[in-house]
Amino acid sequence: MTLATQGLEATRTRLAEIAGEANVLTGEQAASYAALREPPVAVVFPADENQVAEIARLANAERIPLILWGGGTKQGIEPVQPRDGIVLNTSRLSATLELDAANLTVTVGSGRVVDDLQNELATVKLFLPLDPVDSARSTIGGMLATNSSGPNRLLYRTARDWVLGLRVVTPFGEAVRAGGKTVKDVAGYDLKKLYMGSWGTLGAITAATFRLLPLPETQATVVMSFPMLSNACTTVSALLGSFMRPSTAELISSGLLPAATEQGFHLQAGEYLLAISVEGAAEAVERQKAELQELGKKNGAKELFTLEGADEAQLWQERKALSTGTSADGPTMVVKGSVLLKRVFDFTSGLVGLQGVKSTFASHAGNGIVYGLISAEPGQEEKLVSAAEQLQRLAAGCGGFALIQHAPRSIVGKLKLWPPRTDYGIMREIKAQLDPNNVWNPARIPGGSL
Amino acid sequence: MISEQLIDELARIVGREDVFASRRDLLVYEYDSTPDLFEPEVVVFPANAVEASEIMRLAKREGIAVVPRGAGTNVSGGSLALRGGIVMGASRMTKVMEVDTADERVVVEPGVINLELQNLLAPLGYLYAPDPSSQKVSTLGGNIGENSGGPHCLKYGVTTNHVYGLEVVLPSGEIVNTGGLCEDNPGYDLTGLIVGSEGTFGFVSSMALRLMRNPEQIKTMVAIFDTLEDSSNAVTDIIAAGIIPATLEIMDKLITWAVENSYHSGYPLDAEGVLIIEVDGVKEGQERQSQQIVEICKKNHVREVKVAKSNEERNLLWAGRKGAFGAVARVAPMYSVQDGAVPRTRLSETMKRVVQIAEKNRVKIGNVAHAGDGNLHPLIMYNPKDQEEVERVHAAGKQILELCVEMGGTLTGEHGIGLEKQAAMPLLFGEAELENMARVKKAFDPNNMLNPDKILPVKQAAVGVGV
Amino acid sequence: MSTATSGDGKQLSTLAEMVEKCNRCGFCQAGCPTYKASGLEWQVARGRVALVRDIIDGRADLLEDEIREALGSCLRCGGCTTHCPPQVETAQIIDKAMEELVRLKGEAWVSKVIFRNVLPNSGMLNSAGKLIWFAQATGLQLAAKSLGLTKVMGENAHKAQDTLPKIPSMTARQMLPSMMRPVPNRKYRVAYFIGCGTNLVFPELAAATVRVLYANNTEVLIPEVVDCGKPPMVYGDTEAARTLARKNIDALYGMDVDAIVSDCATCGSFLKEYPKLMAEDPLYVDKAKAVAAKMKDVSEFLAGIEFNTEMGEVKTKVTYHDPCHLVRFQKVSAQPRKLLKSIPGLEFKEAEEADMCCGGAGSFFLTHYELSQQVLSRKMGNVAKTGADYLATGCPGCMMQLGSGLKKHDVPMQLIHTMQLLDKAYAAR
Repeated sequence: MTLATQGLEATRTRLAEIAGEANVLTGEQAASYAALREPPVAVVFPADENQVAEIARLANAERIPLILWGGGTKQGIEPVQPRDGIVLNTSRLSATLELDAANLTVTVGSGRVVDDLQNELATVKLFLPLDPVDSARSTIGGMLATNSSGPNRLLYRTARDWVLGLRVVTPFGEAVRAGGKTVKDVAGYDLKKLYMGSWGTLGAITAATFRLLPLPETQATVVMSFPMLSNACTTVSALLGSFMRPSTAELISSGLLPAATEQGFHLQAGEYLLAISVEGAAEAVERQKAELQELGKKNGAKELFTLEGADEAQLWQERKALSTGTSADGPTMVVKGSVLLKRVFDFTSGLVGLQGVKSTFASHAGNGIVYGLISAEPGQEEKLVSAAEQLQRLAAGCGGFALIQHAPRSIVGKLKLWPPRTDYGIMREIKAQLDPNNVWNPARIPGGSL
Repeated sequence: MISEQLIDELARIVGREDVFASRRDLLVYEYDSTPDLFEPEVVVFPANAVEASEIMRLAKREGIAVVPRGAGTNVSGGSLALRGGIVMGASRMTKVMEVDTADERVVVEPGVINLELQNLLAPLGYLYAPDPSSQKVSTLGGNIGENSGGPHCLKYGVTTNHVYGLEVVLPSGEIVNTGGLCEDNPGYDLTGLIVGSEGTFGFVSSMALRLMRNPEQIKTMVAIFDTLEDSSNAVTDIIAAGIIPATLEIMDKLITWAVENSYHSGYPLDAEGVLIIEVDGVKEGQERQSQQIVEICKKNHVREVKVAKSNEERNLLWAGRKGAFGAVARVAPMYSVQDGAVPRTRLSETMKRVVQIAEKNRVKIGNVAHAGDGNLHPLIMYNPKDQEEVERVHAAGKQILELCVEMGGTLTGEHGIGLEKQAAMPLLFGEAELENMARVKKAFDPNNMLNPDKILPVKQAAVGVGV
Repeated sequence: MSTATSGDGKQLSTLAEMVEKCNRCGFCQAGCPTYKASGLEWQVARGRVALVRDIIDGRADLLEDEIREALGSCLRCGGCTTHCPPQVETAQIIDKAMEELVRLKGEAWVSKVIFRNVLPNSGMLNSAGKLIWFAQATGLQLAAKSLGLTKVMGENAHKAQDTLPKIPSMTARQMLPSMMRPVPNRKYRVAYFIGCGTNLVFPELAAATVRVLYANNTEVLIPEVVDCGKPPMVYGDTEAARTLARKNIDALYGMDVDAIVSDCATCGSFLKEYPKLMAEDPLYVDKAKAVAAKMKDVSEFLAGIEFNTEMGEVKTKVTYHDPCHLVRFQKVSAQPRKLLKSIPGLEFKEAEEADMCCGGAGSFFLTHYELSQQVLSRKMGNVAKTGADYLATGCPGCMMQLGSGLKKHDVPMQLIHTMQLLDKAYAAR
């Protein structure tokens, strides 16, 4: 996998021919797109899917590693990274290709920033029911490729439930569609599902067609504080078994949200906040607000607050800001656990009980998804390794698994990035068929390197 | 012809009484719910994944095709043993292994019938959202294969939105688990890929499915219109007003007439367009929402809106709709169901054009549609003994497919490509797209032995489109 | 080439028309008890109809054992047709196919004796009944030997002993005369058709039926009838069925009664089919129509008049099994429920799949023991879930099957006929 045949300059020239001189970065400028890798030899900004296709053909012919870059928020942490790759930045593929409000669909380029799209949709009173926490930077393509989701997955599920169609450029340089514009479509194989969550290993998503919803009439968030984690978890179980249809159930440990916010909720150290949102018809929201108050009181909530309007918006902004996973204090690791709903308590209590590290978490408690932020004293990265092992064992015991989303470079090689599964083999077969020259994000191998 | 030796080997795997190779046996497994017949060489019923795996390995060794089969009620030819070989049925795998309402999950074997699962869940206060009209006979494994829908998928999605994970026997004989009991599994979404693969990627031996709590309240309404256009305009306006009902079904005059004559559900015999609308969820707000819907219908010149006041009334209204095919079968010697999907905003126009196609080909067509998601089911009525009419029905079916593609839609919303629409795939997909799909098939089935030569066009002439 | 294509062309062409209606949608699977038991396509209407089509097309031979097995294992319960969009009448198709089989193959001489000689002769039948009673005391061997029963009813006869209940020493006909009386303030008069099942096996049911009719100011006449004709029909001996029908029509036609009632679903439904059976007989077809017009299941009769609701309390929980020949063949299912629910103190609990066949199907439990038990097992599961004290039904055939099922599956429930429950209620006044 070299540029031996062409050489660095020839490659850069070729890229400039495809995308235009101004849309190719090299040298120092390219270096800022390294993420955890070696700096790329070039960063190219194609304008449309034809250019993407040409780049794909070039990379395939020359066996040049291709890395996709949307908002750069999830560039992956595989220990073995390719050298001399090209970063394909999608930010120019950001146009709204079609907004069919009457049909409740939108087709948009994959380089569009998620929040940006939401703002446009709001002008016609629609929204895309997906709220990944880094929506201010993450692109549509990135969100889909990394299967990112946010708190409202409790009600609205994830991207695979809202995508009607994709346009993709394959590693062979063909621009193809998967799916279309209809809600019901079983013509041929459902390749949309393959590309979503493929982390750029099977080609580039260049556009997506989504199903939309009308903006809800109104919404509210009830915030409860709990001294006891067990009570918070019981509340979530009771919520799920009730008639209510909440859109979020975020369980957050103290020490994560800004100090001012925690003070505002009178949250002490070692306590937990549960934020439950409801949205929809005004009468339904009113009733559920009241029911949530009852629910909290019955299950040992210390205090209850109902947030609406600007206050509510602010809380959720702050929740989103928790995703960065970096701390000035010392090495930090972000672990994403996915466990059975009835085991959320076991996992979260195990997480906060880890020895030798400081651990906090924010979780979609009604989905069994827990984001643990684990940090160690400076120079104590090794403690993170053992914390990771413990959490992975714990998650397995809770019927699920734990993935390392972020970790210091120095320890990445010591972490198990892939839980044990039986289907890695067939995944590799698919990769081998779709990208036989292993050009696209070659570091990311299902199951890890053999 | 399959050898005695192989039959003995199969008998050693599943037990003699679950291998069927006599003349009579093969005669009753040569069909599904399409007109074509393809005789298999043997029919076997494994009890579990291990037996299914051994059968796959045997087939791979011998180069024999394997065709998975659920209830055999496939309407696109997916269950037909096109290349002979082994039909592997799921009828022995009928266990509900686990019901966990707290975690909103069931684990079931593929032979469980959809309605049986619903009936098991109902008293617990839960449901499994995909409710295809065939649910009283179709199996959950079959639903996986076809990515089945149903009237409630407007709000709740189709099968693929309700599967956590699968245990699959691959053509190599390997048994793998895709997805899992929890969400966001790492790696590719193989579950999503296998759902809807029409039995060409693997034999699903177990599934973890998502449950939902019963809605607190359901309000069912029937709106009766004097023109089909008014009814489909009402559909557009309801959605445009920001209301997403749980279901939005349309029946035209021909269908409604047949339904009312058969079931006496309370539909008028001369309504040109009948809408069935259901809203569900939290009680509060439904009254206002229903009122809004009534207003919208009135704005579209509705004749009458009936609201079901009890569960019995609701069931009667639905019995009428779900029995539409049956009712039509009583008035015509034979009928053929089409299955196209278009963007909802183009449904009205599409249904009009379908009527024109009917006139042009001099065939009788009734329109029933999942209007909310643009999935239409034109029912073509004909006499199978009239060869000339059969030709015209074929032609009409092909034209309807072309129409759907022209309208920005797709070849099939629910029934699958199978054999029936294989030849029409190039209407929708270019060479590159078909090759891309072929590559994925190759990854699963390098020897092309699992339900081979379905879906993607092959060089040999495929079976005709439509009827 | 099957010999089925030669011979009676008219029979085959009717069959062809009937099978052509099948579009293979497979919805029959939802209502077929043998399919629910085995999951095999040749044990569901779609498969059986396909085989008949194949026979007509010369691709299969009616005389082949396994073809016969597939068709003969059909319960004729009609459950398939309930779910069938084009309403294919599979039960009738199979009946016709079996008729063709008899024509081709001839009938086992023993069944011929039974159907053509024993059944039409009530005296002989009574004696046969007595013989069975006696043989039961000694384990069925004598009867089996003397009548060659094992030959006609297959190897399973000995296994099926447990389904045949203890046969009483007196038949209903022998017992009833002593309890018959005139009815002062008579409002109605009926002819009570006593079927063989009631007569030989459940004479106490006959007594209950008569008492219930008396409680409704109904005079009861008991005509001299013979077997209704359904057993030979099922085996394909239509001629024997017609002979029996003629005798019954002779006995019933012209009786000055408001209705002919029966407490046996099978008898009632078959008598209602006499016009079709006698369609080719100009001497009997009109009389058959007259008789059929008066024929009613006793629950149908009672629900149709202003029946006597002055009853005593019967505090109990009851569930109901719909006999196929009532719910589907006569479309009588609301009436028994109406009667039961009118009993004070009675709590009615609907069972799941209440209208699914019990697997008795006349002598099916003898000829297809294993399959019959599988079907029964499902019924027992459904019935047990209701937690009822009584399992009520409207057919002696079902009663035999259900009674043995309750015992075999240890279901703590008592078997009873609708008329017997009503009898209790009237007696409790």
